[in-house]
Amino acid sequence: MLEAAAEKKGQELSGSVPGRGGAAERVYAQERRASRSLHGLALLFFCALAVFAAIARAAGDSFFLRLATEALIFGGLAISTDILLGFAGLLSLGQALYFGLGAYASALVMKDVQPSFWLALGASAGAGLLAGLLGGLIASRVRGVYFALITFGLAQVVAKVIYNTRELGASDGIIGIPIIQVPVGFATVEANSPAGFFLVVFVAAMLLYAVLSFLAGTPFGRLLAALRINQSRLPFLGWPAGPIKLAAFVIAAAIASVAGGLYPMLRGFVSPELMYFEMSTNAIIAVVIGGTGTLIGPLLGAMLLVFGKSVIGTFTEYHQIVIGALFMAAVLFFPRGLAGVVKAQFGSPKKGTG
Amino acid sequence: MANRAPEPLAGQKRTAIVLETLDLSVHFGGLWAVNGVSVAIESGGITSIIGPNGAGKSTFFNLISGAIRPSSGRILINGWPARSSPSKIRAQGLARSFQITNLFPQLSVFENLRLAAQILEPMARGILPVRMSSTAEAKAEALLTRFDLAHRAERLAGELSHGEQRRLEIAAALASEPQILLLDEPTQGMSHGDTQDTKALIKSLGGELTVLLIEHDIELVMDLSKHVVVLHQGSKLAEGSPAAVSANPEVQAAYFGGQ
Repeated sequence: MLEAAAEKKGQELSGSVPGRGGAAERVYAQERRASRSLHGLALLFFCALAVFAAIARAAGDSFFLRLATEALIFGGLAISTDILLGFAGLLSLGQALYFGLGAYASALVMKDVQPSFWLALGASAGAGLLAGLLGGLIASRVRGVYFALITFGLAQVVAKVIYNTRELGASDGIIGIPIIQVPVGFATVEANSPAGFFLVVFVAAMLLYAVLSFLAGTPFGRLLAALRINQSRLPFLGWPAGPIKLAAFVIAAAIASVAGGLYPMLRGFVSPELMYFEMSTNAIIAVVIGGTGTLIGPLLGAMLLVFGKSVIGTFTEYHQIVIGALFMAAVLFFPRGLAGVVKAQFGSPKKGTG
Repeated sequence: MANRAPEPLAGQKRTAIVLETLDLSVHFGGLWAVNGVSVAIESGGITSIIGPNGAGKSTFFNLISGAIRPSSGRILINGWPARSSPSKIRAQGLARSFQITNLFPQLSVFENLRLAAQILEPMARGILPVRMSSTAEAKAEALLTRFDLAHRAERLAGELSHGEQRRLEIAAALASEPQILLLDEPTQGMSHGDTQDTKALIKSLGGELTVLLIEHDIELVMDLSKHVVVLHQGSKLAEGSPAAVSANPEVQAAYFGGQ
């Protein structure tokens, strides 16, 4: 109500003399309204998840807590897909490559070097940055369907190589990863404590959301949007498209990798399936169902997808068919996704006539 | 800072030529769209490029702004060879608008201009909140006022009327504070009233920077230009003052003759 009144006032003012800073203030106010609706949804999401976790813990559950943890980890992969798709407008069909590389890097460090949380995640981040730089240098040269095909091809090649590398466990992957102690300030949490590790991943997801929301409001974030909307104009404004794409690609790869690094801590194993095409497409499905370009949407979508699969899987082994049908329904009836609907409902200005 | 063109080398002849093409050519397959065009544009004022449809005017702009590479010939900006990409050429102080409106339709009018002015900011502000980029913000606001778009600031650029979009197109090119501005048919498709307003705007720009103008409205060209270059079938047919060009019998045959 207040916002509507403020908007009306802004429109009245704009007709007369807006005064110094008037136009910019109006635009910023409008941008704040749009992002506030998404932040509200994020707050709701994290609160609901915290309540769920508290109840699950009180009930002595471990299955659903671990499932929720896995969904949040998978949400990291979905968010990384959203950075490319929703912000820069680049469809990656191979984002699971970086998730898998991070998982392998973390698993190898924990098993063969030292069972240290920060060392393992550092290795994941390093692997993601390096692989993202290499992949990005190739993929950022092209756009559209070629970008999709190159990311797809890269992921297929690396997955096959790992699948055939005996030293990395080949098709079996790496098992027997030790349970690590996660340092949380003054205390430590065991990675196999369902509630404890959930909390670690939960905090990480909130931090990720906060950092990326911040980034979206910087000139760099705006350049990504400009890249999505009209790539060909950007160079004439002084910004070469290639380096901006590369930066987005490296950031997305690093996020996917760190998310992947958490996976073996939770499940105690990694396998080549983590970088398969199905992982990449599931991430896209999570993004689209949740809302492209909304950051909270991918987390929401990942949660729905992982829990949906688990629940549907108890009734039928053909759960992929059900997921596929739901995905098509989402694209047809809610193309903006869940968060997109919320944003349109509460965050957008009324369409103007002129 | 990115905006400042480099000073010519010491000892080099100091001229007021800000943009020069030497025997500039480009061919697409067998068609020489621009064929051996040499022009020297002096600092300040408005130079118009005219010629019938297909004369190579827009291709000439595409060459100068780095959108396409020349097949042969050279381009000098402030005496320095033009660099190899649009973003680097913009850093040499040259900006352009497009014949077909080329904006960010899903961004607000203000954001279109703020984005175009972001190049004025230090790189480090790229990862700070947008509001810290105060120079870009002030530039965008000044342009909104100057181009009479302030009341449209929060509208999406794609929602504007055609005339407003054309104005925003010019404003966006101007936002990076270029030294040389290429305007490709800025009044294209505008109503008579809008054209008159835009004409006054272009005239005022000519007093501030070097403007290169492609325009079909001959009356407007004759009123505004200090210098006119006539292109015909990719080649330079004539150049000179508006009066001299319109008196040129070759030009009359090739261009005015048709009307």
